[in-house]
Amino acid sequence: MRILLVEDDEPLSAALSNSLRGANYVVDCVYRGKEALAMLAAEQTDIVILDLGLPDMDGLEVLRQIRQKVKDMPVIILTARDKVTDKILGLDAGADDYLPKPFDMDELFARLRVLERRLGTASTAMVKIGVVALNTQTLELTVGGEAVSLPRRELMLLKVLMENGGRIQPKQKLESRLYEWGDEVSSNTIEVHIHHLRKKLPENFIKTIRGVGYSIPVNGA
Amino acid sequence: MHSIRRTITLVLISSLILVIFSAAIHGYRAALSMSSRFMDQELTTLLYSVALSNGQQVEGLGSSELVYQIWRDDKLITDSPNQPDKPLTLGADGFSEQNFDGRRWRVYKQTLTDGTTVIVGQPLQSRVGLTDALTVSVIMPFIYAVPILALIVFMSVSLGLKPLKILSSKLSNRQGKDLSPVSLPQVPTEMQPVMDTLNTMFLRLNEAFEREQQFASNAAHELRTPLSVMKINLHNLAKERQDEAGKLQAIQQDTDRMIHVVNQILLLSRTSPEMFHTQLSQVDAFVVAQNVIADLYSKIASKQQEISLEGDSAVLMSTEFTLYTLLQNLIANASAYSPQGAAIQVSVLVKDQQVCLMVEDSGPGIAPHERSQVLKRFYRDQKDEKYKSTGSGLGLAIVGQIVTLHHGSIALGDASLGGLSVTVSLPLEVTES
Repeated sequence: MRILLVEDDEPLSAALSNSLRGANYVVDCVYRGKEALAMLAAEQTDIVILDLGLPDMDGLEVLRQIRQKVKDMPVIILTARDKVTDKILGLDAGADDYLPKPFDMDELFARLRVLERRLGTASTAMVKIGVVALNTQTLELTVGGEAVSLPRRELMLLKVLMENGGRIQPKQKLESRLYEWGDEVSSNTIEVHIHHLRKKLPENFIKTIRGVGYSIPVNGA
Repeated sequence: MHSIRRTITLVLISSLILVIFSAAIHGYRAALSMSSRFMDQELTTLLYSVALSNGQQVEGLGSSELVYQIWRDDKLITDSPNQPDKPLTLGADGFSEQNFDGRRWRVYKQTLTDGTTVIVGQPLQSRVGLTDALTVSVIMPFIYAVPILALIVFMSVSLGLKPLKILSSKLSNRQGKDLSPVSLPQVPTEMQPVMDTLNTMFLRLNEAFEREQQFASNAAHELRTPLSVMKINLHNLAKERQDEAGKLQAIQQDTDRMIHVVNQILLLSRTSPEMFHTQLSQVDAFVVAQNVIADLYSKIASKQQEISLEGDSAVLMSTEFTLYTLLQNLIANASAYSPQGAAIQVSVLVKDQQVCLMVEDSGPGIAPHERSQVLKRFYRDQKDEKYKSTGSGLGLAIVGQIVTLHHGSIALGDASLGGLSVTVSLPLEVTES
């Protein structure tokens, strides 16, 4: 997995690349927006980690240009700006994820894993929580080693929850994902799907957080 | 208090009255001497007409206002009917003043060439009467003019001082922290330096104020990147030196506390009234609560705590950032002060034009007599140095500041879950103070 790290602060870039290399990523460090765009054109890159506060051009502009060149390049934004509007702007501009500084390395690794799974590299396509294992590419589900078949949209729902293990997925967010999958959404669609999923999964595998959404707990999360 | 308007009005009106009265006295004197001369001439004319009458009674004369006598060789030849038989004056020829008939008279005596002596007289009183009439006719217009002039003086002084009055009302009607320059529709030359100095002062004050506001925010902001570096390096070090993990963990915790304080300082400056009032919009507190819970969930889940959200959509005038910060502090506090496995319930309700945000927990709670003590910390003076040095105090100060911004209220009580309940009530509309 090759990461392009765009960060102008050299100590931060050094520490971060050190940490990423320790986790077996290949890291290219650049310090300017223009360098990043040149690097993207010249080298194979899987994921971009982009700092918004760059000296030569605005990080959001870099993001827009990346999107123009490589439509589905996964991009995680790092920034010292943490206003809610900044976050929205970043995600609207096409970032896949957003981490405010200072962040936890474990958090960054977790976000990277989600993006990797989306990229579908074989080694990371499998998500396993407890006895439940899901191939996020083929949507093959096994519970305790036995294959379980479920409708595709319910598997998609499970995929989102498992990929974001330990975190809450708000109900509205899940509903908007269902729209993407071409489903009719009524007020209790999500509840019905969750109900179906629960019948096939271990007890308490999917947790309801009343009033907010659903989460799949992971040990030590 | 000393008033420019009253001083100017009083000085002008009293000077006017003084001038008018000295003019009146002068006029009275002038009128008196003029009427004396005029009457003396009349007496002279009278004397000659009496002399020409050749001892005959003079027609039309001899009223109580005029007397005459004609003497020849100490014998009274003729006289007016109403005076004594002795000479009106024993003095030499010419004008004199004499008393008879109970009155004071102006008398004129003239000895003619044939030895005849003619004396005429007129009471002084009638002269004074004439003078009075003359004086009054001269003075009266001035007397009438005094109140009119006073009114004009009062009105012109008021008119002249009007810009000052506008300025003072503009200044006193200002919002507490409004440091923008003052402007008047028309600035008189005399007031221009005052206005210029005032506006320069406002400008400098505003700059200093903004600098102070910006400083904490900038300092905290600038600390984020080095803190990130520190955190990542510690993470790397902890992986390399598993044997020293215990020592490193202490440093990692300290770093996290430092990061927390830096974040809180930023929050405090971002929830300042200046920022708040310019960014007001309709925000749904229920959606914000969902986001806060989703973001805090990994921490809550790691303590095996159960969290739930009750209620429904509750839209109010606020900013997403302030509501987020408020709920984040309340919920993080509930989680931090409750043990493993505790329950936390968040409710969002609309009641009596207010949004009630309630965070309840099943933790140990706070004894009723200690609650007011805790509440005080919400409203702690933000200039207090002590609280700036600790992380936890800031959270409560931030909550207090946000509640104050909304003109809301905060109350502590017993939770139905057994622990503490914190209820924040915010009006649906925000009025600027």
